[in-house]
Amino acid sequence: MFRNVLRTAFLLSCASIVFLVCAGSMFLLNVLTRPIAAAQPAASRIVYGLTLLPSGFDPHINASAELGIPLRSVYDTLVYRDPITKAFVPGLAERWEISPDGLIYTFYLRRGVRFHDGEPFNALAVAANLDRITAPETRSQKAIFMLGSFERYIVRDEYTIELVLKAPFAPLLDSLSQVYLGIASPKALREYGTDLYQLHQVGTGPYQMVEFIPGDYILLRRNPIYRWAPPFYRMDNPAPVEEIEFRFFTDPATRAPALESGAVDIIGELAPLDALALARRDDIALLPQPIPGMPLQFLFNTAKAPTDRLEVRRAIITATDRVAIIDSVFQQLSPVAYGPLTAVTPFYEPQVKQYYPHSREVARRTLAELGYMDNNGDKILDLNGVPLRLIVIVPTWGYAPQVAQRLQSQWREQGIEAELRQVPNLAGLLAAVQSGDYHLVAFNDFGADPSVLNNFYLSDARNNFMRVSNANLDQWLRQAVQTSDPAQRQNFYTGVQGLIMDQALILPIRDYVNLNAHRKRISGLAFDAYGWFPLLANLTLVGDD
Amino acid sequence: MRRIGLPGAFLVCLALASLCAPLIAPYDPLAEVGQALQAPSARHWLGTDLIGRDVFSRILHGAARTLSVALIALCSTVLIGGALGLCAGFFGGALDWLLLSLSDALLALPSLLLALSVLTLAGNGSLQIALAAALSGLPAYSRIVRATARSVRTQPYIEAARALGAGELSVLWRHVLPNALPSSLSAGVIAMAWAILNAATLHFLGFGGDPSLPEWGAMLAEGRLVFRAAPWIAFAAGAALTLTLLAVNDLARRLAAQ
Repeated sequence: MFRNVLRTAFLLSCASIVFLVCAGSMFLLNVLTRPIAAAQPAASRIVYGLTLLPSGFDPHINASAELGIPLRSVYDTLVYRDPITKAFVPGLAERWEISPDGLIYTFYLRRGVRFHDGEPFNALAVAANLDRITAPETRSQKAIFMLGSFERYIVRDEYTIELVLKAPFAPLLDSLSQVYLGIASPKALREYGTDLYQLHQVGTGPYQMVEFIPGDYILLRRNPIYRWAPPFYRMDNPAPVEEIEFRFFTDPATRAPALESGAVDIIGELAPLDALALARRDDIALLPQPIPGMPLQFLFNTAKAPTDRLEVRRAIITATDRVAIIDSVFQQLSPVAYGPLTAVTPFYEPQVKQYYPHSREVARRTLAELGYMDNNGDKILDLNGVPLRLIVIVPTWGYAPQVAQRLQSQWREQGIEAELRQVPNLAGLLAAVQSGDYHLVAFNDFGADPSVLNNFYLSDARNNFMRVSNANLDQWLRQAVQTSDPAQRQNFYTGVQGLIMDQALILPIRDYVNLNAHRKRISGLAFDAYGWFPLLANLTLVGDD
Repeated sequence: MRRIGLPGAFLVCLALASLCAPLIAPYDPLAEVGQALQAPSARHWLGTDLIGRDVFSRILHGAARTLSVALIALCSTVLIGGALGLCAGFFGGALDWLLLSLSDALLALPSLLLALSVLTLAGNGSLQIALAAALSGLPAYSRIVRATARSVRTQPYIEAARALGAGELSVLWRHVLPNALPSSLSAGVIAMAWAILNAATLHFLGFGGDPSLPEWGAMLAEGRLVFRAAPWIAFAAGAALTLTLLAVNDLARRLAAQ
């Protein structure tokens, strides 16, 4: 009897411990993170929170967007995109010319530019970077593909270089404005080789890499001799930040507490509910940043019944209440997506908003006209004895599981059954898509040029998850990257966006918005044209909060 | 009651609750039955989640999944691992060498990694997770049974049975097995606890197929995302998992003590 009492007491105390651990974790986190904040050098150093641990940080080799957050400020690019107008402005190239046939890009380089290691910047440095990116042994995952039809370069003189293309490739300037084609010091590239260079990166940008301990932190220090800034870098900054330490906060639940405790000064990818809570604080400012590219969307497999039928796809989109999803999952912090490009992407076509307004009645009628009825009383529509059942592939990131569960719930009410198949990583997603056994798959990509669509909608595209083959789509997408005339590109992309929605190839959900927040001891946080990468040179220290 | 104690009673209640979940759960675990992230109340005892589903109903239905993992793990571990370990320990020779080498190789890998490898080969899904979690505990379990069988086979009563003319299989079945059973069963229950934990971990990491189906590990992962606004989701799933594991471990201790 006494043993039983003892055991009951033991179990009760275990339950209490569980409760205390859960309820007190926020408090503990605060307490634990405070000493880190106190250990920082107070005024001149800030901590920037990264949210992903990419496999590598070499912009020429690796593809993660996360690497650009610190490295955008370590490198300059030949051209830049203005963050507001998205127009191309001079970077390391003072000016450039494009031959009438679109095959030769001539860049006239800025003089007097020096790398952080003291090496001079010139045409040979650009050539060395192009050599490295295109070398097979570099095994570039992104930069080499961004060069498109690049064939070779010609060094005309010390400050003039020509890039020769095999075929016109309009997105080239966009590519050259991205950190993946940032210009690195040839001396450092030679000295450290392919594998070690990422630990000792040397560019010409407003900040230089001081130290990089993989998995731990990256430390940047202000470049005191930086005089060749693009026009949107604030050169009269009264109190620039001297040192920026990047630390990793890969668990979403830790980000908001880290910011509140002062362990981090700036962080992105906050959970929507956390962002709302932070916005109510006096010492923290919320800065939602829309990201150009593709929205969170579900791509229809047009090769598998029943989504091979256009009317079924249209009915499914019409049956979906996207506003309700945005309200609950994203707390109204993201705009509803209507087409294949987000509203902040160049050449976005607002006419896509007219497609498929939510209406349960229209969806039900459309499906009824196709012959879908609930013949066996199981509340699921069926046609010739086959239930209307959709297999949805759902990755774990980007709130896709939460969105998919709401879709499942909305569709169930309308007699459409959805089987969600969650995949834990990209390899799992690609394998699931490869099998062809799916009706919808959630996937997206980012970019400030709509040519990002080519990777998905061309009939021979690597990511043609829709298994679409449309002659008009192929032709317009190809022509749009071959002309540099903005009016012509707008025409092509208007047609492409209209066609994609008319054919109901995707179910767009929300335009991607990165929820950033910063402590108010910092001001001037702004992001470049791609939305992900902060302009660190514009950060100003206001004082202790 | 005295033999199984409070933890055993808890497990019995849990099993009954999971069997009767469709009858006793107040709501459909998949249906949106209220506003999202409502705090615990008389209407929703453990609140609602981000989709507006009743957390209590999901915990009850999740128990069935957890217990089925536990049963699959117990059966496969005790049957496969037990038979292998018993034969290897009793007969020795090449079979023993083979089992030792194999289990040594597999023990070099953490059990979760082993489970992940099984999932890579078998595909993603709830049944696969249950099997992967069960199989990952097999090497350690078969080693324990083997060691028990080896110690039993040198006992005087085994020699006496042999001297009386009993065949090898008969000795194994009638004398070694009954004497190795208590400690093997106890180890099997501990393997079951590990299987429950590994299965929950795999669901937590995003394996397991449909994210809408109620599962404690997946609920814990989802609850973490909204922990500040709605700590009850993660707390409920975490507490259910912790209490179940405590109960299973206590059961193993009692079995070993007998």
